[in-house]
Amino acid sequence: MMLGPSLPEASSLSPLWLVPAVPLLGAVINLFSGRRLGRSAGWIASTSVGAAFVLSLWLVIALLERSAESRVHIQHLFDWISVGRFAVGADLRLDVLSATMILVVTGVGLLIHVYAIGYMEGDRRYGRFFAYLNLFVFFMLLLVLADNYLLLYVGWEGVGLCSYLLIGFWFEKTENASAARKAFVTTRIGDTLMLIGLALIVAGFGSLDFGAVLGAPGDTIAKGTATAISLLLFAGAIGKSAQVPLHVWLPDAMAGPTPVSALIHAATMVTAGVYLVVRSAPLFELSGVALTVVLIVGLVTALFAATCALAQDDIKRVLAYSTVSQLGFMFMAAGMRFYTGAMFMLVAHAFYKALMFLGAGSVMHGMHEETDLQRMGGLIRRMPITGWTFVVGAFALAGVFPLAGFFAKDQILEIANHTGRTWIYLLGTLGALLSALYIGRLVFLAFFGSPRSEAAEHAHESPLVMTVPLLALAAGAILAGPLLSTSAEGTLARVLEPVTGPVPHGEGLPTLALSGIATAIALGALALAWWVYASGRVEWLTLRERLQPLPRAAGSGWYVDRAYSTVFVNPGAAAARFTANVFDTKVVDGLVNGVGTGTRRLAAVGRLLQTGFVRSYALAFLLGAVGVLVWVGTRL
Amino acid sequence: MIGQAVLPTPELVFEPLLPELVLVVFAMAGLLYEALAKRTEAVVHLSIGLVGVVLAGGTSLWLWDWDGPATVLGDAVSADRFAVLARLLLLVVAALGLLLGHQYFARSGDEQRGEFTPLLLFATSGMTLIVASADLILTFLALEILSLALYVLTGLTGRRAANEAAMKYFLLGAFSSAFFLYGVAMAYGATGTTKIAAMALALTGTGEAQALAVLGFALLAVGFAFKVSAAPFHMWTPDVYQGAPTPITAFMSAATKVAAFGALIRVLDVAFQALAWDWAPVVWGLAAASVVIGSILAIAQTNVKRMLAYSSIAHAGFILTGLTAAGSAGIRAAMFYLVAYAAMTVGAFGTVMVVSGRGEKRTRIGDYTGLARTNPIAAALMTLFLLSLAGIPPTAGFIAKVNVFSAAIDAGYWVLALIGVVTSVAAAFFYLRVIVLMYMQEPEPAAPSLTEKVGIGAENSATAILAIPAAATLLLGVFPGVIVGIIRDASVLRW
Amino acid sequence: MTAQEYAFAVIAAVGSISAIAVVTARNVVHAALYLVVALLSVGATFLLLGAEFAGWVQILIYVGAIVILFLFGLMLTKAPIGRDTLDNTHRWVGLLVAAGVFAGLAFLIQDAFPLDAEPFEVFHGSTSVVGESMFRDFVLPFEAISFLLLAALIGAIVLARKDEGN
Repeated sequence: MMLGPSLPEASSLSPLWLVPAVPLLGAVINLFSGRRLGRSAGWIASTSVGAAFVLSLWLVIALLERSAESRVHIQHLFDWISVGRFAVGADLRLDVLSATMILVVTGVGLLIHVYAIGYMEGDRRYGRFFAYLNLFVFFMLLLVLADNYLLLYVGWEGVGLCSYLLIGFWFEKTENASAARKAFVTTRIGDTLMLIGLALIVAGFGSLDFGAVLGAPGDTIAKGTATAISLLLFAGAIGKSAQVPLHVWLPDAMAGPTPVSALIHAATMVTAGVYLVVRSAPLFELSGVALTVVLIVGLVTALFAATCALAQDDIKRVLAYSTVSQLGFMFMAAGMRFYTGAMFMLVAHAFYKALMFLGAGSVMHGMHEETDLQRMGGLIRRMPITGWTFVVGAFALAGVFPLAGFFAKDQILEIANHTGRTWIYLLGTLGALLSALYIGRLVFLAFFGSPRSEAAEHAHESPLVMTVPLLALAAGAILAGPLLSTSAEGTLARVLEPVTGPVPHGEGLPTLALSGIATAIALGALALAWWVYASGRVEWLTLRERLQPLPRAAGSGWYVDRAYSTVFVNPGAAAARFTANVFDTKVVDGLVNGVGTGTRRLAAVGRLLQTGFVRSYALAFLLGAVGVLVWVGTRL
Repeated sequence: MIGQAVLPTPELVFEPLLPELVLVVFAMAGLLYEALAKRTEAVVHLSIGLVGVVLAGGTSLWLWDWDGPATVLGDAVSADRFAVLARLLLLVVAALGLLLGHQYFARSGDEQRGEFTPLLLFATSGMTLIVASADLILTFLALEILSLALYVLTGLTGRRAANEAAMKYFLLGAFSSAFFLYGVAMAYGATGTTKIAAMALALTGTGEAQALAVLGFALLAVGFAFKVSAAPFHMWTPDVYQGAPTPITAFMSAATKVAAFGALIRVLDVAFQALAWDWAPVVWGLAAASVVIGSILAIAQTNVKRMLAYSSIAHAGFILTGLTAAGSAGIRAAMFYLVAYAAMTVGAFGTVMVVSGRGEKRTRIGDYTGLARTNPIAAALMTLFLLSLAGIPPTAGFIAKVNVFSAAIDAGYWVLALIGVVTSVAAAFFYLRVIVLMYMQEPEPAAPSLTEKVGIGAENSATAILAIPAAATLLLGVFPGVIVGIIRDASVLRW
Repeated sequence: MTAQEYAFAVIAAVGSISAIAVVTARNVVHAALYLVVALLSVGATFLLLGAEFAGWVQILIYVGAIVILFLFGLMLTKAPIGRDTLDNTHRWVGLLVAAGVFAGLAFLIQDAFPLDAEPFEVFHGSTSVVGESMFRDFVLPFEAISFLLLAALIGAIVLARKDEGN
């Protein structure tokens, strides 16, 4: 673990603060003059993120030019809070981990910004949208660049706020507003627990700086404390990354504009939980329990969400459950201490999932906001660029060699196998199979076969400003693959090693065999999906009817939402009604009236004193003075 | 000595007194302009005042790096950074007071008074002098200078309420001055000097409890408690704050507290530092009484200015809470609180001024119903200041409260901190009540809409002035670190 | 007993009697005049102790200014001057306060300057010594007073001029 302070010759990295500052500037400009800027608001926003991306690239290259041990740069901006001995500074940290994150955030963010210029065309609050989007990028960069937990938390809450604003961006529709609220409230549960975790960190370490907390936590705190802190932090991650049991907000969050889904709910914000776990790895390492919890939650989520994805008819909801599932894979990797694997998956997923979301957005754009898979079909002929890039993304997700997703998922399963976790390996493989199935289903239903609606027949390709980002992301999904492999020199694994630690090793099936199995499963599942949904040989709607009630249950997310409604929301509402009708009127009003009466009495006494006559004031003054003198006199 | 032909004079090092001299010169200039010019323009008065304040601020800043003797002019004036910081704060408040006053007279309907600027500069010079004073006689005189100017400012408009307020303030102020002066006499009796540095030396290591010195301190404390409006010497505050023209209320509520607390800090932490065990209970009692009385009585108020007056009593209590911690820790907490308090109270009274309209008609709390509809900017500003006064993050008031409570707890006065926390919670009620009225209720249809208000331009520029305290309130709430270093430097008293 | 002590006895007796007369006099003007005598005797005590400056200042300010101010105040406010109008029911409170103040001061003075303490050097408050001290050690407060008076003057003018405006 390389967490020491930076070396003095850090001058080439000193523009680090500009990376978050530039998007913030863009946000400020758009917030205050977005309406006047008109269409150029989008270009301003994209330029600011683009500048941040170029800057990040430059900084990362400068960072990589250093020797592996000195690839940490800490920039102290100013003293932020200083109460007694406890001090928190506004400090940024650029190391290989945050470098990876800022590249993803600004790179993918740039493409999505450009795409949104076309997608949001004609929206009433065009400038406002880009202001929020830029603000989001700022907070996200703050989150990943923070050098202490408090600044990270500020970013964490900031992205939550932006997510809330953007999900509910078209707040005129009730469902959007309620989806936004649901996302906000659900993630708050995790955030609150995380805040308690931060309090525990302060209590245990007397500091929130990464350097102080993560340097050698075992020397300072007991194992039990480490478990508590880790679990509380992980609770924050569960909320933010939509893991079971707090996953319910993400599918609903698809109500927001599609670029938002791509940027916030696929590529960046939801991965903040993974980043948090990887960043806090030294704490989690102290406690076997915490890592096991991470592994199990990840595994359960991966499988659970994959089954849900399989039964969705809304294109964006398929992708949403898919994201939940993929995030589960990332947590599985982290739970097995394979942090590098988690980060691979994060990067690869950012590419292909953003690609598919934007593709879905392009489809919606071309089909008058249609999102129902049953009303699509054969779109690849109408929208070739969208279609083929989507296929690339889908194959990447399914894990077809040599696309990015193959390396990412394959390695996670490989580690599971090599560290003797056979059950995890088998279940993970099942998850991979389900992933290939649901994405195959999506692709074949939407893009192949024959059009199943008027809109599908007359769909049109999207403008260049939308398709170019698709092509760029597709290139990323293809090219990222080799970069992500663990072994070769110069790959992400080797670069990340100083922060994430070495890749765990062990015995098991040979790597080649595992890769073969994985590829076979992916291709097999895709073929199965083709056979069912696009070959025309299976009446898949009839099949679905025959399988009821399973598809309906999966489609509704296995009734988790309804269960929450029954168990938490309805009793909560009932309790609220009870509170309002009985408790409030009887008890609280009684109390308030009591307070009121008491206050009135006090005020009456006060009024007696506050006569307005100078002589009574002077008398009170005199009595006060006598009181002070007596008080002093008795102590002599 | 008597036979000497030439009177030996002390070396005159007058630089540390430059800010006061500048203020006095500009006050005179304003008076002469009023007296000699055929037709006087309010803008000229304002410019004279502002230039004076800015120059005084410049000289104060220059004194930050003063490396001459710690006290000058016969040990009567301190040249430490504490004085510099307190002066700068006072001068900023004075500048805001001048600007708000200018707006007020431009549109309120009250007669414009040419004496406003000179009197405000007089008051400011007394205030800046008192925070630098290292001699109790000078402290007393500075206290009188600032008080006299404030009495007159209170009654400046000649409205009935203002006259009555001025009279009350004057009579009770004179009463409290007597206590203060008696305290100086007692302290002189105990130590044979009025210089706080010499006093500190005389009191150090004497061992026995000195009744005369403690009594002297108690009487001084009564005098200071009156000035900072700490309970039970607060009775004048609601009447005077309500009766005085609102910009003057804004000015004096912030500046008087800064000045009097600045002087009190010197008395506590230099002159009587050896008697900390004896004075801490007095401060404790005043603090507890102030937070409780200020918070409870504020709930019953129906007038915004009165409510804010009670709130200022409670805030005096919070600052005293911080001062129970002797030495640098308490000074730091109190200084931060004063900075935050100055920003939020000037802002709150300034917003009251904007809302109250011509002739101060709309100062009932009921007048704020639905303000968010009729004047959203004023409502937003008021909300910010009220949240800060209530001590809710992320505002300056929150950080300030945390600081004073932690200072009190570190000094072992956790009961007082507990009282403070509990009353803060109770106090939040009356601030939030106004916010609820502004945002959650429709404006009364009968109420004159603010869109019909006179001089919409003046309204806007008054609101623009309030951007300064608003920015400070937010900035100190989110990044308190920006002034922590400055306060740390300033919290060391040189003597 | 020295001559000084005889003189003190006489002055103290006169002063005490006239002080009692101030509060027992039925006519408020008489009370004011008794006050003159009481204050004069205080001034005389100062002179007796060699505090020449304090003594004269006492006589000048208290006798010359303050009592005159009282009398003016009585006349201008048309306060009832005759007999039987001064009685109020707070006599006992007054007595209590007076006794308390006396006890407190007596305690404090004997505490700070015990009788058995060695006698300290008497400060000769001659006018020249006071003047020298004022212009050397207290030059700044002296200047501040002049400024204070200026502020008071302006304040008085501001408040007074207002009436003619209305």
